[in-house]
Amino acid sequence: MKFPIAPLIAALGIAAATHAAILFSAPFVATDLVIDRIDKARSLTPNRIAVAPPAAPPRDAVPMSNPDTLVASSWLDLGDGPLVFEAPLPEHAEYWSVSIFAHDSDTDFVLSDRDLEGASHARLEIYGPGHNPPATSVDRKDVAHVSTRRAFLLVRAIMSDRNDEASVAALKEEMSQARLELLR
Amino acid sequence: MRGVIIWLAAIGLGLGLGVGSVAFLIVRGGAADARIGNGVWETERHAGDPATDPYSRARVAIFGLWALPPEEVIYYTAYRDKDGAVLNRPCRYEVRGAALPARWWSVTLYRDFFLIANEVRRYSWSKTALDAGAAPWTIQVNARGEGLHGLPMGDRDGVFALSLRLYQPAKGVLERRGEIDLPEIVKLDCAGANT
Repeated sequence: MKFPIAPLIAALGIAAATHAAILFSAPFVATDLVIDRIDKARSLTPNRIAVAPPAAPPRDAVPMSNPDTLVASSWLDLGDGPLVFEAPLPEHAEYWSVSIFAHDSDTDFVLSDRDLEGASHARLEIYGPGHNPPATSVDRKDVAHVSTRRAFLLVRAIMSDRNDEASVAALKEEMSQARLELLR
Repeated sequence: MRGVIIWLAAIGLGLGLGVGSVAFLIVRGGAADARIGNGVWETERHAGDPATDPYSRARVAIFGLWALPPEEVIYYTAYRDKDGAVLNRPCRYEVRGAALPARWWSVTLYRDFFLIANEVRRYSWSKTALDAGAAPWTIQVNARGEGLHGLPMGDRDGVFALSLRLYQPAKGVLERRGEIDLPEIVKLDCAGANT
């Protein structure tokens, strides 16, 4: 019997193509699935920051989310130009940071309260692909260079005690003052 | 007819091999040095880093999306007790630790990668919640979260994991992620067993 070499080669080719397709699409798909899950829970609008209640089952949309973190987030559409992020730094958080994740899940930018060295307010310029950031922006801590047009912005503040409703409400009020606007 | 069957089998074999191999390598593979072990705890060397290998990137995206880089937060995960046995709901565990070299830290319990519902809304213990200062502390992990500093495993089985987060680790910790002193996970006993 003649050995069917052509189908065997085709099978190996299909295996390699399937392997590569899943591997390289997984971060994009994982990002989209979580954004969709969050969107279903609280109707995300692009470039508009919303504060979520502390992660708790069954509404923790992100795997292995931190239950001690209060999160404000927005998905970013950088198609209309660069954005400006502004927020007061909460007084009673154990830790605060703003981070931006590219569509392929890479961490493109992180700025924490420690980086801001005692400032009471954070201001950040966000540039996407095809934008022309100022030449001086390369080493600036307050300028984010994002590698994909669609991205996700997360503001994290760690609560001292997630079961202390008064302190959580106060922190949430401070977090809700975060804003995103087109850079003019 | 035989030719069609052979080609359909080849396509099926190709798809199966492709899906199986990528799933295996995402879960267990990646660059040889992609993960750092420290006892039963393990951490990704380059979580969130664009320079990481594609298997590690996919793994972080699926199991810990939007993780911060290790300079900002070191995420350790443990699925086993100190003797190497998988964390299991009929058993009771004690996590024993001391002050950790970071600005803030926490220990969180997950089942199947998500928080576990419980009446007292207790999912973690942290530096601030334990209020331990430099003193040693313990956390009790068992089905109902009984005992001082209890963490409930809930009412059904699954893949249990403890996550240890070190926010803004102290100077030098990043380079010694595999060596620093981390909490011990000690199995106390198991229901229906003389362990």
